[in-house]
Amino acid sequence: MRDGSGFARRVTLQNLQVFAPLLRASAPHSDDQNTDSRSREDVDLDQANTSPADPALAAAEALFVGKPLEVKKRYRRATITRSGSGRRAETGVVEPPARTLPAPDLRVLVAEIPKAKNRWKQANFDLATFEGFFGAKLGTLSTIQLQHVGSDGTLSAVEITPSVEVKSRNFRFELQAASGLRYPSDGRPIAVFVQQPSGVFLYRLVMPNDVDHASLVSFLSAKWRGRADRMRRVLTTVQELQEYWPASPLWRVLPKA
Amino acid sequence: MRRLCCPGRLIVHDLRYQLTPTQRAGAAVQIDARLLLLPFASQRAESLIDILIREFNSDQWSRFYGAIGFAKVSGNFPDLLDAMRAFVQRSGTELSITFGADVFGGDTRGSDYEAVKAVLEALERADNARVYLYHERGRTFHPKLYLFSNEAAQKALLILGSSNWSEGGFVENIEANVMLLFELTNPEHHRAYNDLVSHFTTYWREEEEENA
Repeated sequence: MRDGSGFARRVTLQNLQVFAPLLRASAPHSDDQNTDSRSREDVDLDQANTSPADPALAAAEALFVGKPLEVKKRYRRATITRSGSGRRAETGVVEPPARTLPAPDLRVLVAEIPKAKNRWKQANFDLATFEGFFGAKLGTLSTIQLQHVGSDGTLSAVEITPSVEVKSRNFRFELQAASGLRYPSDGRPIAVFVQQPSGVFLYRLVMPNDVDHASLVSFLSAKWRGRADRMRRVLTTVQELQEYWPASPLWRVLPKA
Repeated sequence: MRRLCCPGRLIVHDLRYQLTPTQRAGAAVQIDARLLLLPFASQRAESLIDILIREFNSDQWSRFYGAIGFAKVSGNFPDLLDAMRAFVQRSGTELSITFGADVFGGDTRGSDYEAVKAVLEALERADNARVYLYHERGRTFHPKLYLFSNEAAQKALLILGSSNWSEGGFVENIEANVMLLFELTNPEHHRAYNDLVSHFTTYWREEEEENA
């Protein structure tokens, strides 16, 4: 797929409804003469498709799975600040971003978890992820230290879990946070792992009925480059994921940069 | 070859931007061009809606490509939809139009559901008509391109500028567009035309459609 392609979908009368969250619901024959300027009063055209998505919007956005075209920024960008009146003012001065992120460069793995014949508590990963992200070594007895973060930021006990090599060179280890949970019928659970310098991987298991699930679906839809029929796994950073998931409880427990 | 109403030819150097320095040193490329400034042209019955209806009804074009950021209900003039329907009913024609499906803050959306639906209904029975929606996370789909072409006749008409698919964009707003008449026998025109069409087929239509 070429960079910049894959973001157009054919719409017909039969499938129009699935795209409805992306379109404005408007009454027919409404008097919207010359509404272009009025409807754009509070709209920043440079900020399209950036807000956190509710579940319905996330589902519609997930239909557009393309390969973004990265554009190199060759000029200093304007800093846009909002004055007390709410009007935007461009200062023309580039200022470094405030350092509010927890350790922005920490590596993060965002992974959909398959059902795996109801053994989904044992998450599967390929060799590249097993070695490259979790730091295990093929052929050696590996354990991985995990620590789950609750929705309110509370930390569970550290889980020391052995990894198991299974068929087709996949590697599996258990997620205690999935214990006792039934695999959902309305979507895939998503696990987010943060690689800490200490060697303990913080993780958060997000189920489809969790308010944060839509944000992660949006992230995966935007970043996944693989086949549409595969479990989506994306390697990223705290900084990049924070743009989609600003309210993650993970950020509360990570040390600030 | 039909000429655009134009007081003189506009020498456009940008069509040569992909040429080598040696090629660029050759003769300047000229193209028939006309500015379409609204609502001023609307007063002379030469608004963009007048032009679109006329060109769809004209029998000189066999293909239409559109890439428009915002589709509003007000842009679905019945006469325009009728002209589009008549266009696709003619043998040998093809119509492909891509509207933006951008989401801004809150409930603000770039295009109207009913606008897209009305276009689909107008083209419902046409196998040679395709409508697409474009949505990309973090990027606004904002072009306003209307391209008529007839490759067999070696010509194309490109209308591009600020006019969205709305009554304001077609008639009432202050809008600035330019109309360019491509003579595809000219290698530079042909190169620019092919470049434009390749953007439609590569980026603004569903890829599976091209591979079918």
